[in-house]
Amino acid sequence: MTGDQAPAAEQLLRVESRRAGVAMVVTVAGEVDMFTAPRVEEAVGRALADPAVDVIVVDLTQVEFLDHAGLTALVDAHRAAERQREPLRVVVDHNRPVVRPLEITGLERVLALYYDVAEALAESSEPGG
Amino acid sequence: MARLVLRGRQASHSRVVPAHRDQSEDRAGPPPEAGPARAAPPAVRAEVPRWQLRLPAVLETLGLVRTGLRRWLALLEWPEDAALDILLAVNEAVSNSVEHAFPPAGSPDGTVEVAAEVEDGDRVEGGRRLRVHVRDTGRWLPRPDLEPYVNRRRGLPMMVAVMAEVRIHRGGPEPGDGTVVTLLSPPVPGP
Repeated sequence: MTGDQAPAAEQLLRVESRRAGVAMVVTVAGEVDMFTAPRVEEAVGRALADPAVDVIVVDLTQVEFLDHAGLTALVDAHRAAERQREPLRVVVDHNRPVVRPLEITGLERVLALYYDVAEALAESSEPGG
Repeated sequence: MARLVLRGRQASHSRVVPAHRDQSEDRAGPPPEAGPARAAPPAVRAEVPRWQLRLPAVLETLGLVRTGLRRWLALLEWPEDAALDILLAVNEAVSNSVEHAFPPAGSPDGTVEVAAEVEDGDRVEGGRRLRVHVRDTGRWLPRPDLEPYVNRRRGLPMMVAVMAEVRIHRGGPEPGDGTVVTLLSPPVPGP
């Protein structure tokens, strides 16, 4: 497969992280699949490794496709965050390309889901949790 | 010649059912070499819309398959929610081909072919549906090194959840016999 045929992972998926107080907001936009999911893992991994970050919010409202690899990345991050501090806060709104795979795998009942970033940030963290 | 049939929405619970075996396989001795792994797809009328793509079995192929299939389904005015389910299922089948069919993963020799056709008219109650074959040239070999990952895979349950039927046909012992996944979508109203 040559580069001029297939778009690079960076074109399929954009991942941005920004600090908001003690929270890190990781915004994911585009298509998450086996090819691009490692970029989500990396971004969340960096937030997990940052001792100044108490809360990790992952905004998936601009995600256009999410496959099993993306789901696995989310669940792994959720568990790692839970062990360290508190569960990942996953913003999905009503974005069907994200909600549908969460629904059919039952992971909507596992992950902590929010409608928007403001709501996810507004919930206070559990100190010493 | 292993064959699995998994039914989705039509059954109350998803289950794995061995399909009826060919009579030839019930006789003693090995099955005949000319197995159905490469069997021609069912005869198709000329006007039936078809879409086909054959690409190397590498990770980059996933996005190309989705882009092409998404455009074709839009041309067919396939309902958006049902189209997403088809993309999810086909993507998982192609992922399996990329991940398992060619150890080491990403070997340039392997290809994966996606062929989709619309079934409609008097053959389908309640509208039309899509039949998709995802065919690779490798085998789904057991990979002990990937076992922890494979055990928590969600690909197959996802396919079963969104399709009316999922069939997995593993090929014979020769390299290149391949694996064929056949997906049948639930019916949707005509355009």
